[in-house]
Amino acid sequence: MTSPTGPRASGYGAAAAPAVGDPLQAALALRSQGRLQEALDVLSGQGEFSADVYTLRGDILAELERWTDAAGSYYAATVKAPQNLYARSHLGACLHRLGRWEEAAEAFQLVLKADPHRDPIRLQLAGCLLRLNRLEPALDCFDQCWSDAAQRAALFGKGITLQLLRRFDEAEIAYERVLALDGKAEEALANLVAMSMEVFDLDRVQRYSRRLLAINGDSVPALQGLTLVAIERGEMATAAQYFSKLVELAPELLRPSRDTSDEVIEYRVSRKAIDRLKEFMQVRPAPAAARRS
Amino acid sequence: MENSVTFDAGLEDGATFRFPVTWSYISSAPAPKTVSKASPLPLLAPEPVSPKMEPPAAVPVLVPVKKPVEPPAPKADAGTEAKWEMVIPKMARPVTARPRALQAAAPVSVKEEQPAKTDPQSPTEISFYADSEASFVPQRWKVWGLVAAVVVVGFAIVWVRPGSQTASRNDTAPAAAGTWNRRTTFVVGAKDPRDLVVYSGSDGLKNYRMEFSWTPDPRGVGWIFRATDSANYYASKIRLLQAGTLSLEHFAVARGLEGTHSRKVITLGRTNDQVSVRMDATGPAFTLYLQGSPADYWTDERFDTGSLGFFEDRGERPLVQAVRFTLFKKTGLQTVVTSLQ
Repeated sequence: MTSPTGPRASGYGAAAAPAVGDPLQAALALRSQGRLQEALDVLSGQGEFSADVYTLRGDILAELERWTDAAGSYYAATVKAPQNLYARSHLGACLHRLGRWEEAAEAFQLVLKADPHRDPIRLQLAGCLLRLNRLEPALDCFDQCWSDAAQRAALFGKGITLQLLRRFDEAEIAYERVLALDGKAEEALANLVAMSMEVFDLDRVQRYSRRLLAINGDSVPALQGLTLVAIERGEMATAAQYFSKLVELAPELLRPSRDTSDEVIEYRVSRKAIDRLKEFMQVRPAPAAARRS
Repeated sequence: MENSVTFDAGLEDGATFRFPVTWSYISSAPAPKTVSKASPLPLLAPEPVSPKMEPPAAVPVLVPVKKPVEPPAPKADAGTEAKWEMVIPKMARPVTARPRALQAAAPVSVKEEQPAKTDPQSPTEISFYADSEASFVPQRWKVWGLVAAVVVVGFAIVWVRPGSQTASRNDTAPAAAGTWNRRTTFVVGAKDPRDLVVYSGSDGLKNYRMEFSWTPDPRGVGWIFRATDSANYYASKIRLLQAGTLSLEHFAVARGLEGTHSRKVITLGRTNDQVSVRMDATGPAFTLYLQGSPADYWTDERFDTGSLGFFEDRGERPLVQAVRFTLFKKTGLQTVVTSLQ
């Protein structure tokens, strides 16, 4: 009581009828052996290929992390077969990798139009919209996520979008919900510290920094937060304790920079404050290399 | 308190604390259990629409030796490679006990391309009054006729049986492809035992689709999947909370320990006598559909393969009918229509 048979291992439709010298089958075999470049060579050459060949080429190129070429191959697959959601979603992922947010967003939107239940795609689309500073559509995307698997990421995304929209109270609620689901979401706490810094709410900075430090004792945002709170409150011994750890961990991060990104909140520690902190620290001379730098 | 540090020369003139706002969490850790090992794009690649996992849109249910309907999209090309096999339900079902269960078996007819359109309320019991308006034969005659037929059939069975053992074996062969195995287990810390009713034809499988109709009740129905043994499996349960409102939950039992239950409340909008439940297990992703619409999606990669079946806590028999499995085997698709009776 059986009917058509054929190899199903590949997942590529055109492989249904293997033929002698079928480049698709040969490439699949080589790929399964980890011989990616050879598999790619089999699929290269002049002439028109099927959508399956372009899709497989895209997969192999993506495995080789040749994102631009992979995007090109997936694009060719979508031209051949506009309903190939697999190729289109991977095209979006490659474009996302390449930082081509607008085009990536377009690819993801087309996938969602055909299959609106795919939250992983929706999250990636929302990520692109965030990059494009289209905050309201991004918020809509996060709100539309429905599955358990996407819940944390969607809540986090909602928090970040609300934070960027300066809707801090709502953002804080969203982040707290993320933390209720994932108590070790360091990035949520780091963003809460940043958000508290933006309104210069020292109590909140201290509270969230402590929570962050409890998760990760080497967290730079937490140590920065606790240092600045102590400096602002004149508790220089405490500040020196945290600052000394910061200097050990990431001195390069503390140097002045020209980063003027809107998403970075900066706090300058003056030379005078540094001098006072030094009084509480037993300072060793810096190595010669560090001085030259 | 004294601190001994190597003071960076670049900090002599002051320091800058930066608090960047970042969102790598969205792409890197959407769910702690989710890791797509085989994904060519480790962080950003979406879950691919795997053609071999996706059964064809129009499934020729229970029509053996018939190609699946040509899929409209290329992703369903795998359907042309499908191997269909009908597995006859193993257990004899009383006609009147579960009339709706018979509706699952009804599509055996080749004409039944759309079994869902069968009127769920249509009578499936043998009726003497099926064509009473056109028939002038007295009812008593019909009864006698039926009794005579039963007697004749009984004689025929007794007569033919000794010499037809080979044929009998052949007839029962498909049924042996899948049987229900009941095992009683104890989850660590639980007071009551749990009965696992495992479908043996699904041993060692990775991808499959479960479908059944459930009569909503507060006791609910629980099913298991990717069960490697009685101490390691995934489970889901659906229960009626109040009219039109259902509770969905899923959890894992690993090494006999039951993990936390992920719960969700779903409102169906109106009261339903029957709820069609479908669950797709595709790699580490699981999607639950109610009445044809997706209701829950989650990922878990602890168990790669394993059997499927149902579970019963405290001996509560689930009210399920029209049980159907689509098993994605290496050799092709296998569709199984069976009964939990």
